[in-house]
Amino acid sequence: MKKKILVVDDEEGIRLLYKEELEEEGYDVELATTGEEALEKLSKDSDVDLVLLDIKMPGMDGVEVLRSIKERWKNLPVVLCTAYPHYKQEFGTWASDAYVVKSSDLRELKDVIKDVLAKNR
Amino acid sequence: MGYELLGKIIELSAYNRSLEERFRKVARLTAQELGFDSCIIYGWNREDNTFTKLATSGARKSVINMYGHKEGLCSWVKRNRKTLQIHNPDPRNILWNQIEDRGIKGFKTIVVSPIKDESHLYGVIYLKAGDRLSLAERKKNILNVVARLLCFFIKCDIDYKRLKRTYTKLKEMQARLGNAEKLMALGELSATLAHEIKNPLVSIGGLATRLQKKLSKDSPEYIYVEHIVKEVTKLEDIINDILHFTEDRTLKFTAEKLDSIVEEAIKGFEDICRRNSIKVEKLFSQEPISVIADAGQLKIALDNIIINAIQSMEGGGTLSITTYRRRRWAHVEIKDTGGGIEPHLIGNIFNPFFTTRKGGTGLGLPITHKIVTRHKGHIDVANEYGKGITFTIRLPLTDSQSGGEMK
Repeated sequence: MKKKILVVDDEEGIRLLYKEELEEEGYDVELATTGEEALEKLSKDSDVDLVLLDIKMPGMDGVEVLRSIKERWKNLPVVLCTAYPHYKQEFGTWASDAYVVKSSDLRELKDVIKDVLAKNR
Repeated sequence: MGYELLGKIIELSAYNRSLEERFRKVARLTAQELGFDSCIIYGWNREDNTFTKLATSGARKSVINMYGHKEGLCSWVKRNRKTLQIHNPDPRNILWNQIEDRGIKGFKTIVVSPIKDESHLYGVIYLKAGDRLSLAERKKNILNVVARLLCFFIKCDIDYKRLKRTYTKLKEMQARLGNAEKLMALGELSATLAHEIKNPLVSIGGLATRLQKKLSKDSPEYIYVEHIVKEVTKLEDIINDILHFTEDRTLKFTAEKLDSIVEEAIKGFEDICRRNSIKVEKLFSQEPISVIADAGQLKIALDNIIINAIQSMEGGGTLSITTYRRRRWAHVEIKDTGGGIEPHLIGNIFNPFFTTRKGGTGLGLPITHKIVTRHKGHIDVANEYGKGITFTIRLPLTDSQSGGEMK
């Protein structure tokens, strides 16, 4: 059974890149442009296995979305993904299951996703 | 009579020359006016407890350059704080009252007068005559006033120098403050820019990598895309450096062994050094040095200096790393033989984006500077153009090692 990943990012190029790359890795990929849209999709679609979440977005930011997800779906793993290396230090991001600094080299991201899914099986 | 001398000396106070030059004139005028063959002015040096010759006029014989605090007639005047007048019946003699003073040799009359105010002694005026002469009360008074005036000159000079130092320091601080403000604005701007650039860059690089995978390796398009991917990776590295530089993360300070952090930093470069025929010399302190540090960050600070050193020694050289303790500071000295940089550029090396290397980001040393400063440490640079550069990082020792003086 394919695992389903929800990618939340306001940048179109990133959504396209992640979708294609992750589908190639054998995942089903859903997309959301904003935090609000992501929460809406999650309430309708209960078989998402992992959320890949950008932090800096217009509207609800990633940390707020993370908090809402962990309140409503306690066991749904969330991987934060952003340009800033130092968000890692911030209290608000501690609740996430992993943290990845964005890079055009996606190997680290793929490894992290694999690890987190394996732990949450 | 005598007023003329005092008038001339007072005029000298407005004279725009060095203290030494003014003293030479005072010595000449005083010797003439009071009828002496020789006049020497000594300054009392509080730091090394000596009288040092500041100016001399007239006969050159038996001029002593320096007296220790227990030597010669100067020491008597220092103890008694009053004018000493002696007659030396035998010019070959160098003893008076069991005090040896080679300065009196060849003279029959010697007068030594203190230059002092109510609390301090600043020096003495040493007058000598080949003949026997006795100083009238009026002349003694004139000498006292001359001494007072000299005292005034010295005190003005001390105040002037102090003022000048403070002024220079103030100017420096002002410049640094202006610089710091500029750097902060620059830092904020670059962080915003870096963030805005990073996202599109990740798409460009990521999608180009996908494209590359779909192309046949011997098509010209493959090579084009390969270039795009390579350049994007370089840009991403720069952006990461900028974000690192501007990030304001909290450091985690713990007591750390300095030598292990330094050792760790060097270890990462041993291979590169071997490949580039760079000899690594380690001179670690005999005693263990314990510092309060964020080990990871401190290693980054050292890494950047070592990278710079290695890059400056393309044709090989020697990288020396020394650690030692001095007073309340731990020191790490990193020295290369890469030729140093042109002296007029040295003031820029800690400015972000300044670089002498093609393709350098100019953020290595600024990051090092920031980390060291956040450790409440200092970094000094000794640039020997044509030879090499030495960076010295000073870090506060832990409480136990500094004798509990640090908070």
